[in-house]
Amino acid sequence: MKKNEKMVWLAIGVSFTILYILKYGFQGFLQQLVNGLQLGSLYALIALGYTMVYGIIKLINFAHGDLFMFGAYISAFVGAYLAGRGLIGLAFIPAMLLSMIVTAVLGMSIEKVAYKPLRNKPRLSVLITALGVSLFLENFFALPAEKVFFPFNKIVFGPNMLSFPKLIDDRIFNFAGISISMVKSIDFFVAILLMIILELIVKKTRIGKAMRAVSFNREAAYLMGIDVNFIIMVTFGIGTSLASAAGTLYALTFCCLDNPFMGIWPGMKAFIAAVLGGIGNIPGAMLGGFLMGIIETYASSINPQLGDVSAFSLLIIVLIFKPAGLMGKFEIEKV
Amino acid sequence: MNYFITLIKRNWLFFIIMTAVLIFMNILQTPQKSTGEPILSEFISHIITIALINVLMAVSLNLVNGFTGQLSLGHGGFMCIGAYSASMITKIILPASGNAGWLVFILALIIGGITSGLIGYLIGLPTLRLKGDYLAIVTLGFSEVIRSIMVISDDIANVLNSIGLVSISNVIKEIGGPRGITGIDERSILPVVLIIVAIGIIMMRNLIYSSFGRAFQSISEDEIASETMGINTTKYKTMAFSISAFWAGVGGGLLAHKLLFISPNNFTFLKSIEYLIYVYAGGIGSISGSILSAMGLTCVLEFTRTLNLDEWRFVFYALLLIVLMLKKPAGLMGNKEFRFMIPREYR
Amino acid sequence: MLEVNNLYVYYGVIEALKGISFNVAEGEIVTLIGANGAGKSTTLRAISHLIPYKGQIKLNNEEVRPDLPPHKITKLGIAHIPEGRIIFGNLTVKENLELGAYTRNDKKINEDMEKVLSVFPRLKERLSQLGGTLSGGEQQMLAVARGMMQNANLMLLDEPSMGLAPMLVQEIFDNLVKINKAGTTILLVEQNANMALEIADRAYVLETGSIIIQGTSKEVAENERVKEAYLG
Repeated sequence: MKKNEKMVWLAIGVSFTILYILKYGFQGFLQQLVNGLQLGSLYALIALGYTMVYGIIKLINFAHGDLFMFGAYISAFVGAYLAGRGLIGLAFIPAMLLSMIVTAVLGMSIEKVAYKPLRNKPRLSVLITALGVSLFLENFFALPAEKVFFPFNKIVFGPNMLSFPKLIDDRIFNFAGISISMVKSIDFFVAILLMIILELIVKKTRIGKAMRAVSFNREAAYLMGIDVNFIIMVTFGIGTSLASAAGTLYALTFCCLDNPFMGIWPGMKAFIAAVLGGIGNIPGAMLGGFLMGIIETYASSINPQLGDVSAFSLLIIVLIFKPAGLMGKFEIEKV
Repeated sequence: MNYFITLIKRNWLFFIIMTAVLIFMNILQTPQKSTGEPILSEFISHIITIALINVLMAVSLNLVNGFTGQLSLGHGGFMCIGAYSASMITKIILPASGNAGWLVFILALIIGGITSGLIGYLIGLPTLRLKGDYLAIVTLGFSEVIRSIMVISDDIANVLNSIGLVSISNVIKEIGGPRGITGIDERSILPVVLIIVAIGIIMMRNLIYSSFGRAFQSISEDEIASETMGINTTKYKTMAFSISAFWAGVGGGLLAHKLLFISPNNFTFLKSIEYLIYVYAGGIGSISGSILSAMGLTCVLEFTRTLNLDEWRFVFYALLLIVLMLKKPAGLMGNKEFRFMIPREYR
Repeated sequence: MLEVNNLYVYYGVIEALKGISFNVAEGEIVTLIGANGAGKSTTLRAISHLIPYKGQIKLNNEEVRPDLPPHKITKLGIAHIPEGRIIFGNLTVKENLELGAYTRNDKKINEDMEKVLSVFPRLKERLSQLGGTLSGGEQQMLAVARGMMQNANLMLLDEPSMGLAPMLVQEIFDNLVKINKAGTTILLVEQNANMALEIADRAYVLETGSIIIQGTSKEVAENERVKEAYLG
């Protein structure tokens, strides 16, 4: 980014901040910042999956938001089982881990069945397949159980709202006039912990190195003896399990799951966050996620309807002024 | 004038067929002497009308997704714009227009199309500079945003009212928020729809077989190569996109004047997906394919609607889309056309 | 060591290799020379299973199964250094070298790293730098060094001289001789016929998918047609 360009963006940001503080006061500003960080941490987790998959096979995985939904439902079922046995409090951790594993298996199977056969086909075909997978997950799981024939009627979630078991007794702490909810701070810290683990995997392990190599040049990775298909599968697994963790945290915070279409908007916003940070760039996705969460929180605190619109306007602005995102490099397509 | 002579010369067979079909339809729709019922029952002609509108939507989407090779997922959004603008106009002006009713209706359709095309241009300009994937996500988001604007139109009207813009506020109130617009005049009768859809198809076909169309197709083959050949890819992509949005708007206007009642729920993301499926089932880059699949699939699905399996509908669509991409990515027709669809000099 | 019999490769309907046969004995440097589009890189890519082929490829007298996925070729002891200095620009020099040893799990990796770095001392100064920030010559050295880390018996090199200054080419070729002396067999694909024939034991000349001349480097270098077309 050029220096004066940076200054312009900074100036815009600062003036918005000042206007906001003038209208809602400094405490209101801080309060929304805290809320924004919590929401942003969820977006960042989902955005990571988008960015990892895009980085490695250049595919916008439309089904990613639905894997977030799937993760939320699985943890709701596990959570209900645990709560039924009187296990609460830290019980959300096994629920989260289990749903991460199950969702990762689903994500990897989707990759194997629907995306892998199209790997050397035009990119548009895979994109449309991804769309099909997304539609399938939403509509299939939304089928009411009585309308589905045998083995599947045990799997579908149904179109109605499901309440998430109250695993954690939420408490509100007041800190210098700002109320901080315990559940929301758990969201934030778990998300940060997962991001640190991811960063360690990508930077320090053999698999992480192979992932970066495959995303840079698939053919050269083959020549190093890297099993490219396996690495792509692992990437899907990690990405989807992060989305599923975000799903658990989301459910934990909002206490109910609307219906199997609930993943569309969070998925969409997380994608915008990934683009904002520079798609394919892991730290970029984290930054983009937090920014997205904060901006949305401020916008919807002014008017609830502004939340969704702000996300979309943000995308248009990024595409016009900075198509490579904040941390991405604009790559010139090789001929 | 010369243009019209060439138009008729190039498409004379088509015009003759159209006239014949219209006369035939007329016969089918007049009540028979013996039973008092027309051969073409109201239910069937309703389905055919809907199918024809879907044909127009599929062909116009094919212009972007097939012929130009860009992925647009917001066709339902453009349809929504066209439907709302056209029915707002007819609702406000028709009662006062007396004998000029049909003229107003046609004008409303055109204005709906132009509004939608213009918005398509504005959306396309920043996004189409970039590579394909972004268009997909922007159009997807855009169609949802259009829908949510319609849903909150009452709030917008209230805000406008409170700052003194009463007349604009009253117009926006007509959008009706989540309730939608009711009591639209029925104007989209079968022969009218048939003529308009035919004109749309002819114009898009002629576009495809013009130098513009060759530019579109070269972009879909290889964008970088086209650029190095001196084709202004952004210009042509935006052009294809706006024209497609125009016809989607017209299609929306037609749909509104057939259903007589529209609400934001008519134009969800799933609507766009429906058209996407028609295009890919028929074959990208084939107008004939889009016509066939839109006709066929609409009829099949309208009839199965009576089986009370509505929830399964989109599961079926989704599976169809996946299987098509995996097993038959070229669709029904590939990029072939029926012979009569191709201008003579290209046969 | 490597024996190729009747190798055919098709790109769609185009026949890129028209049934070529050649062999490389243990300890040799063999070079494939030819003009652009003759099928040199295609040959190497077929040996590495990056593209489908017809025909027989034998390694140490055993046929390599044609359906073997490309990443398993490395395990057979073949290191392929691709054309165009393809290193991982988003990884550091050290990580690039470590990836060279990706399939190895013996204890001598660190030892080998020292050895490789003593051959290319310039890389040692740049260990923590990102691969993409190296100069062209350094990138080529890194590509060769990374290939050495695979500890292969047979090294396939695709145009290591491409786009490099003569001084650097000389340096890289000197190192190739050193690597060969240390016990690695080399199959070298080159457009720079002069340099290649200088270090090679034997040579094959490839033209539009067929081998037209073969023999020891000396014989090939003295061939009238080669002199005219490649040595200038």
